[in-house]
Amino acid sequence: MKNKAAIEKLILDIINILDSVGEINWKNAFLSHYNRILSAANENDYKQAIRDVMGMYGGMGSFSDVVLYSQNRICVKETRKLDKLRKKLYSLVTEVITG
Amino acid sequence: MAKIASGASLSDDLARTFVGGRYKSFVLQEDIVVYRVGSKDQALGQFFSKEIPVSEVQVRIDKAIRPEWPGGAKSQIDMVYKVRIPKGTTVHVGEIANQGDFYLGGTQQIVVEKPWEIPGVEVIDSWPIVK
Repeated sequence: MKNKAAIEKLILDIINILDSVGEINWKNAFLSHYNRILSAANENDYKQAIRDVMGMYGGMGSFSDVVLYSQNRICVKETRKLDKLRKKLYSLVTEVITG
Repeated sequence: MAKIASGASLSDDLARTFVGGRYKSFVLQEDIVVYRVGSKDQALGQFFSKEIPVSEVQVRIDKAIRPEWPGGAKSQIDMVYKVRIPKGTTVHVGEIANQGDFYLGGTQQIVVEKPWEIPGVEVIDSWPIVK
């Protein structure tokens, strides 16, 4: 299962950032993806879980559009970190799907 | 007025949000006003349009905004945000890619990468969207 450990680690890092600013909606989605990837019994299950991670990337309203706020102010430091992890995760899941 | 941005390109995760991954990049020669929709708690994002959103149903179809994403995250649409993007900013313009079902897209999208890093990006008005 290509990139599995790296993807799990990245997702946990993303969960921690989301949790640090109280972003529950996306945190819960990532927890769900993490558990599916962790428990994937075979390559098919794994690839389906990875496709669903990829499916969160999109335009307005998607994971790609998330900017972190707390008390009506942008959390710049956390959003910067999230954006880096978001790009890295996209790159790793793309490798799984295309490879 | 805008000048074509030579060499500006989006990463794949953002480029794929345009039909066929096709878009044009410009450097703004003056401030522009754009619109987006979102939850009460998140005004800014990376996706905008020159078109004023009319209703939740209309933007979900025209801007391809699924109500729920894989994993169960909801995309709450409560508000319309009117945002000023300052001159000098690189913007990427094209047609929104389909997100499946009746989340058709096909209308104009403007991507501004990392607006949280751009001084002068400002939400200048907001109002509840028609449900």
